[in-house]
Amino acid sequence: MKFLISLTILTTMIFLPAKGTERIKAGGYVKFVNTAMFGKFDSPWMVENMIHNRINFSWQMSDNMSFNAGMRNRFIYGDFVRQFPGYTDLISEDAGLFKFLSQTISSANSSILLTTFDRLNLEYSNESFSVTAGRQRINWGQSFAWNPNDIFNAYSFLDFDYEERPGSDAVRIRIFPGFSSVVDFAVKMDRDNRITAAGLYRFNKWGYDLQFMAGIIGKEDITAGAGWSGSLGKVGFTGEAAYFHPQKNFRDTTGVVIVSAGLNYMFSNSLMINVEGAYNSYFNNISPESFTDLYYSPLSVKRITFSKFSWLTQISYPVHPLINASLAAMYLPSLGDGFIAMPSLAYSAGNNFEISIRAQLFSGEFQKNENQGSVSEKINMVFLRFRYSF
Amino acid sequence: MKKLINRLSFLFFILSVIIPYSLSAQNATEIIKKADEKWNGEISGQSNMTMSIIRPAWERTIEFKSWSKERDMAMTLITYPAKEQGQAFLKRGKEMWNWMPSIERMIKLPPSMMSDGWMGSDYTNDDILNESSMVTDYTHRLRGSENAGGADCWVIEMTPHEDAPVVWGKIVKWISKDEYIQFKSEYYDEDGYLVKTEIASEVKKMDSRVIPTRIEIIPADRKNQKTVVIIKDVKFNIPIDDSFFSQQNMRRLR
Repeated sequence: MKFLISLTILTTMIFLPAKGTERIKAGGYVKFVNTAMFGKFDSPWMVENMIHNRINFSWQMSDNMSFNAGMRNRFIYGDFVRQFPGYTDLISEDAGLFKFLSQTISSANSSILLTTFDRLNLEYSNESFSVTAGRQRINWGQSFAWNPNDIFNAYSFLDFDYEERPGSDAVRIRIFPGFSSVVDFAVKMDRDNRITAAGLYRFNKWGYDLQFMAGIIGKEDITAGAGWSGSLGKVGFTGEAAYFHPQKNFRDTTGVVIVSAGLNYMFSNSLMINVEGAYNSYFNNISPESFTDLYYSPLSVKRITFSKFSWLTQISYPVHPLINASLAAMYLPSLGDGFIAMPSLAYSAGNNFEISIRAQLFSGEFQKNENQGSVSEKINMVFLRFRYSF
Repeated sequence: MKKLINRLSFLFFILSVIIPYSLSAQNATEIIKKADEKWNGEISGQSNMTMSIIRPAWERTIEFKSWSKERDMAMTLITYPAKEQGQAFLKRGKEMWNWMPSIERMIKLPPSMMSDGWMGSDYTNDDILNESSMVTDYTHRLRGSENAGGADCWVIEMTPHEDAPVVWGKIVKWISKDEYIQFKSEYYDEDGYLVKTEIASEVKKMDSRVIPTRIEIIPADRKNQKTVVIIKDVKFNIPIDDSFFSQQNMRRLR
């Protein structure tokens, strides 16, 4: 019964009118994603399907006050649910203080229905100031693939289907001293009442966006970092660096450094190239035993890379005005010279309808433990996605 | 990423419509100047537009609102389609930013992205960047009178000055005698071949100016293709404070 009610709510919301009145706006998308996973092409495939619905809702209560909500509903069925122990817990996890905003509506042998509000906040803003309270996304990234400055909700480059990312339960105050500068303070609390608090100052100088940030992350670290976005001649140049020092035994310990930097360029025929490198001194402490360890590890900013040094090259090109092709390759020396190749094709099938196919082809080695040596692993994932936006 | 970049060109397109130019005068030049002033010679502007790319097998549309002030401040908000809705672009001087509401991120755009054309539309980079002036960068010759778009028009041939930042070998314009509307423009390459034709229609009074509200761009070698721009509304010389063109305001546009 509970399931039916939820499903009714869900379907009603899917067909909400795309455009509301001026003061109330609702929009979002419905995606269908088919995932196939296999080691070798002729080995048994694991297949999973997902109906993924998102609804963004905003209510402009007055010129300065707004209420914003983002709801994410997923119906997942297939082999992953049936065969991976702990899969439901893993994908339904909500690390926020308001963890009740995520609910598992139904969990059966082969299917799960999940719903979550990943945005739910009130914002007061005027031309030079804003304060936001509630569940919100705080995105401090500047680089393309790896963002050591993005300490509130770290992002995995591989998680392409959830670009919005989970929100943080936080209070955030922003002051805008000029047209391209911001002083940003945020305090977030997670479900274990751990507090992450940090400040950032971003400004524009010498044709660059420059930012400096500092803060504390739970009871774990003190952090300080900087980031930039600008250009070298006509080539875009972005990067971020952050230092994390343990709060415990402050004087006797050494910290962690994560740095990323990248270049990007678009040719006149719209061919776009991104190259990025990253260094993460924390990787030595991760010691993953398998690709799924990395893929599904709860993301913290110190776990954003899959290797001590990481390299990424991405090329994208519109082969037709409606078809965009891209190929990204990530090189991971720490995983026995491992790599992830990520080809994709996206077809704009209508003004609001997109069909895409992409793959993540992983090959690498993992150290099991000190005596057993290394084990090599090959995992291929292919995603077919239909997206209707409204 | 690609699509995001493509949106930039709109800003330039808008700028090309509303930017002020310096002037000089003569007979055919005087006509061109008056036609140019229809759109330009203003301090600030606000508009609501639709752009459609039409091909035999498909059609794509984008709608956007734009604001501009003087030569170096502009802001654009995408209002359609749903996937791109809410994305905003800010231009201040030579720098540009893109606000992506879905990922709550402000992206500074590198210079190489700004000169890209738009999603297979029939606008060339030169149209969009439009750093040349049809008044000062060309020599004008009155070729006669002809009917175009249902109006009696002057036919004026424009040849670019040698050092002008122009890709065309020649432009011919049909400009109405009463309202100085550019009903038709033909663009020729340096070898004298027709590259594309622009046709204006649906003349309306908007913010006390009589202007065409529909512009079609048809490439000469692909007659079954076109790009159509429709101006839904436009306001000239509205009071906008410089502080309107800010990163903070990109998030607040609606």
